[in-house]
Amino acid sequence: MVTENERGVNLTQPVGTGPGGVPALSVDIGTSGPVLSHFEEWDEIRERYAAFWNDAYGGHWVLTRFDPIREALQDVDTFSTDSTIISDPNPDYLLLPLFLDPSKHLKYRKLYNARFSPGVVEALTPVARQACQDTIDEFIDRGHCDLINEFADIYPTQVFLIALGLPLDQAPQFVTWVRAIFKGLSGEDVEGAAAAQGEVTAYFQDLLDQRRRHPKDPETDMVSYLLDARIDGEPISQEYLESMLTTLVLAGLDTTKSQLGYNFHYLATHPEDRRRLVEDPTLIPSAIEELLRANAFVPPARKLKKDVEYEGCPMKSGQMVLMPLWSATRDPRAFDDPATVRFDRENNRHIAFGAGAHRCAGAHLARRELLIAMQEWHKRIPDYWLASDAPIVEHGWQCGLDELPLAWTP
Amino acid sequence: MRIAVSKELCTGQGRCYVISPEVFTPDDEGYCAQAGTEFEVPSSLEDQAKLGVNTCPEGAISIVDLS
Repeated sequence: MVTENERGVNLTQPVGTGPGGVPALSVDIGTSGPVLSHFEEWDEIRERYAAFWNDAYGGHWVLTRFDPIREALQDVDTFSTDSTIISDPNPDYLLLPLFLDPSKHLKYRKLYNARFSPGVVEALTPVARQACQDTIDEFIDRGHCDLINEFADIYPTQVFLIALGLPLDQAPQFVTWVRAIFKGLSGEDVEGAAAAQGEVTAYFQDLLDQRRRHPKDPETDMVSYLLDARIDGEPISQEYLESMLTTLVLAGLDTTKSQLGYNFHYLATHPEDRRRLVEDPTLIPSAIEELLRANAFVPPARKLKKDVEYEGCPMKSGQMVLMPLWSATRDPRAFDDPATVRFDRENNRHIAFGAGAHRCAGAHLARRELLIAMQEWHKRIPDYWLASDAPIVEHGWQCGLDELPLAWTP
Repeated sequence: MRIAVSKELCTGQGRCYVISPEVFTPDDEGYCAQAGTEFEVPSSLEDQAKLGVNTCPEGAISIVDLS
């Protein structure tokens, strides 16, 4: 149980009152802490407060429990994606199609649904499996690796490029960009992050130029597919195209990296459960769902589009609301014994991929990436452990491990 | 048993057709192909159908009639 975090602060202690007399806390989810600390801190916060005003990032509402969070995510008219950046209700940039209002969103979203569907994911699987095997080849004989920075970011980046029809030799460049961008999102080296994001957009601008002049097969080339697409009979604007492609990078790479980190950290530190997966790989899909549930590291934010009384809070149009998914998926009101990882858990209706219209478009692909990784790794490296006693650090915001040194007998 | 899949609530989370493939199937975009319909489930598939009800993260699947 965690009552004080690394800074010696008891996060459940009110710092005052917010609007309408609602308790105000001061919780900065951007801080770093020991592995799983963010989830464990919120296990406590959730049990004390169904909702509160957070005196951080300019002040915003927070929801903590499964039912209200799910309901809010399903109600895009009230809890809009006009901004999803908790510290910036009026960003001067677009994350598309996320920021689009309901009248436009689905038209663009459908384009991604079709390209990240179960059928497409099935077709990508053999090449993705080869990419996974090749990544493992790089370090298997060494007997150790940093899972985060040698596997969890490289392999998903390769799959991402495969899904977009781009050459795999671009992978190291994308890995570098994504590392820089996400450092910035957690406050470290904000300039480097902005520069990297600019480089990603420039890369796609160049690609869009190339594909306009020499189109490739839209069935396999994402950029050609988006250039071909028509929304209400019109081609997609340059601004929208650039944003959609850049958003894919922001959405799809840091996430799979984080989830792989949590999965392998759990398996490295729970040998009996790991052995169950090695002995019966048919358990892997259920284990993946359970590890998604227990480590749901994304904290979506929404902007109120209307005044609403919600969970006792007088929420006003224009204010921001934070809904950490880990708080929802570890809620005892929705899941029995939620802090325990149980590979055979039934009725696992977790919302680790969100809920409502903006449910993660890459969920089917992400699940397949996780499945392939768990299958291929355990076929070749069934026994492994943490390489040292050094503390495992978890960064905040979109939580994840910074490093995960693992060792095995080569 | 009669179940219903809500077209409004289904967002293509993809749990139903993976957990209970004999009751639910995916469409080309990953939504439940049975969304927007109500149908009878034979008794041999009732357990699968119930799993679908309890595993849909959106709560889009419901039991209309248990008989």
